[in-house]
Amino acid sequence: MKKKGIGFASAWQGSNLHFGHPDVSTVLIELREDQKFYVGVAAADLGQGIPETTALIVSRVLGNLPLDKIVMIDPDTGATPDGGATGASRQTSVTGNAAFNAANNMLDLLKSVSSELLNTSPSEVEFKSAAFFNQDGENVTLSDVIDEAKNIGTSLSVIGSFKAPSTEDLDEKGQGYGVNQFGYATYVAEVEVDTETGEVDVLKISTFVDAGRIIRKIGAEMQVEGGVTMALGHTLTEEFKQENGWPLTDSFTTYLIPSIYDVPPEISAHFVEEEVPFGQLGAKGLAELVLVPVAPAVINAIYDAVGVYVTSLPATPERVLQAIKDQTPDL
Amino acid sequence: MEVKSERTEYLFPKLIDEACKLKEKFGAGGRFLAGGTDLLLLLDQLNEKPKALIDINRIPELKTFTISDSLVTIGAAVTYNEILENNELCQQLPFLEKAIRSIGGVQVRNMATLVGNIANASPAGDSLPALYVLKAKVCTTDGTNQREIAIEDFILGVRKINLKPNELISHIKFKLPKPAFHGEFEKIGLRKAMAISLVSLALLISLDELKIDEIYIALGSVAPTVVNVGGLDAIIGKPLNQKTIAEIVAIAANNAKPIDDVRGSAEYRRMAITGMVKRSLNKFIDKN
Repeated sequence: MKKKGIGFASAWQGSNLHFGHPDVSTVLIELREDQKFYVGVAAADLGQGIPETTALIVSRVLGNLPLDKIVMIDPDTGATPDGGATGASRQTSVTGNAAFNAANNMLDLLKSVSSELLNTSPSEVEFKSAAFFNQDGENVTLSDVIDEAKNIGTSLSVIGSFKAPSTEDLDEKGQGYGVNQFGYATYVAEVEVDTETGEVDVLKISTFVDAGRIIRKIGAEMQVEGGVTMALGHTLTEEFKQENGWPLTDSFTTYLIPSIYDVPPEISAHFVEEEVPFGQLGAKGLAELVLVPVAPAVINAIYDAVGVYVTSLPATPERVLQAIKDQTPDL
Repeated sequence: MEVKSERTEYLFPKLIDEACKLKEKFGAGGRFLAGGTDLLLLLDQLNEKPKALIDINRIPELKTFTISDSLVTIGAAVTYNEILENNELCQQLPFLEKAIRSIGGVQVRNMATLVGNIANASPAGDSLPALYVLKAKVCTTDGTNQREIAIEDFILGVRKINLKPNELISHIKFKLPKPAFHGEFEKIGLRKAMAISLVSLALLISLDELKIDEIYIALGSVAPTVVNVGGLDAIIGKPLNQKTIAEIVAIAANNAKPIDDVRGSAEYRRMAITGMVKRSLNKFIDKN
């Protein structure tokens, strides 16, 4: 017989570097001959989309410049400024603010160069639709500004940096300002359990995530969906087994990550945009937070469906059925 | 240290006779290859380098796939996806279609063959329980002589088959069951695709005035070979209700001799058989 259940779980998770490690990123922007803005930062993309997010932030600062005018240089610590590790869910918050600062520095530089051509002061220049306007509506193009920079011998290259608020190591009592921001999430899992085989079908995961202001919604949604799927692996299928120190699950035919058929038919992402009090973006970390509530929500949903708690992961059909049998030996 | 042959010859015979002669020439060092989806993994696992891989895909007869007078004939080089493209077969035998669709992913099914699943002789071969209840016959040839062997007599144990050193499986055949029959396929794996079954089941049943007229059940992954459940004669003529289902469950469980392995315990497999037999029979009741 199949029984349905619903489970809730909430989590919070700190992001950015903790316990006194300085958390810094630097972004380079250059306007080149082809009238495109080249953006460089050695911030590794693990699929989370930091190049797209960085480009979007630069675009917004530069008057919603079309994204095809922005070229992301491949990250390379030998050629681009250091964005720091892709870890601690920190890139959007830290590199994102560095990109914001760099783009503002670029805007100031371009206004300064164009103001000469427009016979006005830099503060009177407006940059929109990839052109520079003075108060009288006269304008010069990016191409004009690039030529003028060559005439006056100025590089159209800037950097911008950002350092997240300093944290400190905890004292001997475990007290202190160790973490500069937390993200929060509550999930609802809906499952169906076969009471005679122990199979669990996850029907739906609804997520409610406070990761600050969302910069690039599609990227954030994909991170939620990817994180939920990854966490369903450790909740339901992934198990590292060993015997006398030798791995028994030594290939992907025995160590099972989720297939597309294991992804629930519906994963919904709802964002609660509580902004952080530092930097200009209001964004918090998202990447790790989105995994945390999955296992407890699913385990609670299994409990709601069949009245038993599975107390070790993954909740394989065998463990679920064993828990049911332990509860009701006569079944 | 064993010295292994330096190179593997890759051969493409165009005639059955030629293929059989090559197999005889290379003996145990020659391996037939159709899709290779099991074979290549196996060679890697055994660290075995064969003297020759004999690719049978260019032998036209082995691509034969016909349904004629209710007789289905499927050649050794016919892939799963070629079978799934046949609407007539899928409409007549949705449980076989379900079993085949549960194997691997699309890419695997583009390469892998139904006959390869038989030749691999794994108790977890997911097409096998369906072929057992359909009473499929395995047809072999040495180029001159043909044999026709019931599938349960052809598969002798884990990776053990009743095939002579100079023989090739040319095709399998089975009769389409009469329209009164209803089939089911169920499998439990540790994930929903691309996973080796913990237990699997095929069921073929027909009723006569709400009483069981004929019933066949085969179980996978519960013994060294797929098991045809014996002793079901005792329930012929009984009405299909929960009491009879409990009897069928007991008979099925008696036929299973599962083992513990990395995927699950024997104890779980025994319990899961109960759940699967009940589930498949209740589906049939719901449909009536």
